[in-house]
Amino acid sequence: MLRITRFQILLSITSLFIFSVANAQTPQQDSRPRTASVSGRVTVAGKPAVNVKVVVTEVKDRPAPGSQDFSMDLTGAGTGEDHVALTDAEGRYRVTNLPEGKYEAKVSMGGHIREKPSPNESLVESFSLDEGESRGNVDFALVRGGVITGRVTDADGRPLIARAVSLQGVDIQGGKTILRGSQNPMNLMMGLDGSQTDDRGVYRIFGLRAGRYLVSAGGESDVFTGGAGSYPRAWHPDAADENHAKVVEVTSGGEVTGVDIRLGAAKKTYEALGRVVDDETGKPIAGAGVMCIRVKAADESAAIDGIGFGGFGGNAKTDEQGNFRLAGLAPGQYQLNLFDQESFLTGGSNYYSDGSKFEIHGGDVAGVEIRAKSGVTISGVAVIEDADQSAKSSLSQTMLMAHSMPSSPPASPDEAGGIAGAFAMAPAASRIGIDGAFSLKGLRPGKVTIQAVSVTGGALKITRIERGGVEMTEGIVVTGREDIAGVRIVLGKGSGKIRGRVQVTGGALPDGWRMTVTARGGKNISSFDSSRSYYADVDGKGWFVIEDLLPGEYELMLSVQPEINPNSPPQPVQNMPAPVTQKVVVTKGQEAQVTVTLDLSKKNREEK
Amino acid sequence: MKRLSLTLAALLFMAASWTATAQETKPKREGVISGRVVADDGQPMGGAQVVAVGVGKSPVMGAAQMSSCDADGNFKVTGLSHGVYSIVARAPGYVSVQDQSRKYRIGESVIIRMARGGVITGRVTDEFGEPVVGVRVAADRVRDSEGKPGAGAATMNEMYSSRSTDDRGVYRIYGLEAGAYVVGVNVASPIFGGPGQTGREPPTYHPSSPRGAATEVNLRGAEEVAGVDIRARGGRGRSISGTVSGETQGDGFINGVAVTLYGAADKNLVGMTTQIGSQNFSLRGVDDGEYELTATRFNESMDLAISAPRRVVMKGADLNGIELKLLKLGSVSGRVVIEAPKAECETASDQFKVEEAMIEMKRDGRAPGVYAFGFFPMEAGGNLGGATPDKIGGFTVKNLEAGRYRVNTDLPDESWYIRAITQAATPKPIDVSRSGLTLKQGEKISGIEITIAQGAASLSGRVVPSREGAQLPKRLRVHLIPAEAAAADDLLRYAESPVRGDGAFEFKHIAPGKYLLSARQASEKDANDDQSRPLAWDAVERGKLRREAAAAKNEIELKVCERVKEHILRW
Repeated sequence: MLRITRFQILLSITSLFIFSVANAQTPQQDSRPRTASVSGRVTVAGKPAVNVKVVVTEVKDRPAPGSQDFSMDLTGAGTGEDHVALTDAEGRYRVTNLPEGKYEAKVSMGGHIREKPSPNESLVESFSLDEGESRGNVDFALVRGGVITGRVTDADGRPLIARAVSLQGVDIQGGKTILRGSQNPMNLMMGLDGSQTDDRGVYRIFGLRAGRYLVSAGGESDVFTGGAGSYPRAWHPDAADENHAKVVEVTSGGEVTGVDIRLGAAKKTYEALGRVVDDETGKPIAGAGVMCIRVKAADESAAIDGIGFGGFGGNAKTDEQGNFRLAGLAPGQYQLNLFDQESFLTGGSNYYSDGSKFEIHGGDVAGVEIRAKSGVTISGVAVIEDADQSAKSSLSQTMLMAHSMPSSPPASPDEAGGIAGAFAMAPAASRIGIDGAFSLKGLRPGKVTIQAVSVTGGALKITRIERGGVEMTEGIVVTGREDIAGVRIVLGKGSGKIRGRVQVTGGALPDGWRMTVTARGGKNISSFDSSRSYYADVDGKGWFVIEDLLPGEYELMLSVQPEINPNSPPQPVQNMPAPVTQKVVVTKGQEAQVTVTLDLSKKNREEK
Repeated sequence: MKRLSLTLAALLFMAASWTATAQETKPKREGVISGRVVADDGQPMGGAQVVAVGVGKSPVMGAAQMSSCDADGNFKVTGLSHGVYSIVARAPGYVSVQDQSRKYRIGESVIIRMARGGVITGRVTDEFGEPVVGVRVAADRVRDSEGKPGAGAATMNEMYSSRSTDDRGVYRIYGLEAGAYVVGVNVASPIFGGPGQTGREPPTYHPSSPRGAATEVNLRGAEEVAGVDIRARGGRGRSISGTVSGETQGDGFINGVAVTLYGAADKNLVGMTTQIGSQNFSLRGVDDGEYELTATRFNESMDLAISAPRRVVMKGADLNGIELKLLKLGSVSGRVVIEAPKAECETASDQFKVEEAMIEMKRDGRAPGVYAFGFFPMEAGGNLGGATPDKIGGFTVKNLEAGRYRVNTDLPDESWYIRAITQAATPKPIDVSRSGLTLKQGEKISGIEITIAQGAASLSGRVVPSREGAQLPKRLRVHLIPAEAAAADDLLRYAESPVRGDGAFEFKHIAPGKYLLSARQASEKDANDDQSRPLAWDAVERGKLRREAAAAKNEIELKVCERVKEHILRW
């Protein structure tokens, strides 16, 4: 894998902004009364933990995507103020002089885990404080986590550096649950993950719950080997499959050493040679970009799967004969498409391709052909409704993206779903010029839906799409080869609001679970027009607010999830209440009030 | 939004290299740079990755291609268009041991040497002696193995120069280049920002000090230095906050602002915060001291705006309300013109591809904004200040701070030399090669014409001590001076070559004519400064050089296309 430069990481983080938003705030004049306090006790195996840092931080609500105050602090330096307390001789801590708000208390005891398994496996407790409230019992009952350590070597005994080591928990019945491991690519890349080997091939995984585990390495998606070659997955000590793997038993707080893994021979990789030709003329196209992903690994052991993505196969550019060469491909099935990142952000290509497939068994492949088809261009002008001049500058920060849904169903389930599907249907993108001009190129026949995307604030949404004075409510149908000009896209900022309260009946929501409300709708409840979907967290008192909405009817969905801790194992979820839906109508400039009832006594629960 | 983010994530996150838009030229050479990665310890470098990044181009936007090595370390980067590239290799645990600033063109073959990196390891404890778990420890190189201070040395390998502590508080940082380091926790970094995990605590360096009092750790090569323990100081440090104003909106789609805090005296990165979509910034965990604050606005096309460095003094209180004003950066654009060849050298390659000339703007005085550019990967950072022309020779070098510049051109082929550098003006074009170019803040200069002609000569040889067995002085340079009086001020005909340990020197792309040679010892300051101006640029020094050369009478005539080797120059 390319050790992605930090700018590219920046860009990739940007692209995931929907899921990870922090709101950086400058210390502002805060005139709230500071009369609340929080206290608790930290214990390790029942005994007081002395001189341990507990950091209490105020958590500002995440602004809903598309709201005006959207911003992203990549360095994570800020949420609210931090207050640091030390535990005393009895393990007790106390933080006073706090304003009312939502908080998180985090205990600095890395390597330790909660004494009792719970949905909230993190060392973070969330709570909220009213003005003047003295909240007690924000406790952390911890035990030392177990440790597994060993060495990863290749077939010749040479240490393998920077390899990911994965764990699988083995439950009592002998069945398998996937536990955590080095599955978080960002952590892995940045060496933050403890389960990556060092220069001696040594790894150390700590903070484990007592139990039985299988330990393995290799088999990563080729993307994530960081320049170190690819090996088929092997289990401690040198088993090629799980059945022959040796189970590692970890006791509470115990350390198991010598859990070595010897990998088999490196995966042999191969080449694919091919051509890009113009579908109509048959002429080769020089300088065309192609991108290849593996949809199925030959050994079925690709780390990232289930979404049709078995690894990144690489990309290439064609020479003057329209030929390209892709190297370093492991056996498996691949899908190849035209793709041009630069034009994605600057203009677009007139071509699209349906995607070609090829398969590598045990040798190089030649003669792969991509037929580049001339797509249709949708062009026109984007304007801001109500001539809202303040939003004019936002036009240049807004990008229009067009998604095509084919008029005929996909040829196979493989083509439809997941990243492979998204990849094959890569959207066309267009910036908006100073005069409002836009041009979406290379669109395939089918129904095209357009959405507005922006990274920075002032998020504009599409309120109308017109052509020749006729409103296109279901998207624009592209047939044949004719370009579609004169399209008028009207954008606006939402001014509607939903303020709601969740009433929990038939019980209380357990600690460590949180509620989220998603609103979908607006003028079109269309599953493809995803710019019409917003979400908000429900605060400690059951309130939620969704702002900047366009008018229309929305469907609210309240869902309950356990707190997610990326570093700890996803616990099997039982007895999770089913989501609740409710409709609400939003009008311009108005606040719609709604109450959503969550009845925990209902029998229809989701079980996993 | 899930669909959008999945798509964007897939497209932006997964892709490793991108292509430029389709071209119509038909390159005669295959767009390939091939070669081999070899390790000092003889280990096969199978699986190592090699990246070629185009000069002056944003790696995100289309100028990076990569290749993995086969089991023997052979690689082949394909799909490259005509241009100028930096080549970087990556293999975990190894470091590159050659000049990273060398540039390559398609058809060339490269041997990339790597050596096993060094290791620094130790234990981090808190003020109570307890192990600190899961904190990032960073090794910042302050001097390289030759003792040269590493400005921004932390930036390049930084991602690989930091590791987290385990449950025992033990960290192990490997794959480090030789040099002198300071090792610390809660250290700021371009990737992780900071300082601090919570952004609160000031950095602590081995053994338990602020940066100024840190004990250096010396790594001589592939060795392990253990016991580099750090006892965290705790405390909170102070905060610096404010807003960024001015040129915050660029033309890019994704505009971000990075605010960096550097030590005023030692220019070390102390803090950094990066924002997208907000003009407020806040840095925490800062010790008392004197610093420089700079803001840089960037986007996906690497168009930058920078604020003038702002000096701040932190003494016992938070600093709020600081405004950093972003200023536009300037650019220089023009054309490379190929003079119709009057003579053709035998060694001339099939065609001169104008896209393979590299134009660099070298600034007089302080190296331009190294700090701000430290955010970018070295592959691109080293390429800032440079550009390659398009198919018809048009070029633009952007992101230039105000100052005086000279134009440097790196030509692909030995048989070409620079005939003239002018700026379009009435009534006559200005000879830029003599006067240089002065750029005001944000100024865009155009109409620069660089004329290239065929028939260049080259000269290489050795400096030999006149007295048998005598040592050659250090920092020796050979100067090439035009002999004709009429060319006394034609700066394009002056050249300088460093002298290697064995006395070797080399000149390429020389206009045919009569020359004098002179060997001179460079000052220590000039020798250490990569950006140092050629001596001949200064009129007074030029005069001195001419007189020295005339007295020494080391004459040589270089004819059209002549390649002189083994020329002996006596010292």
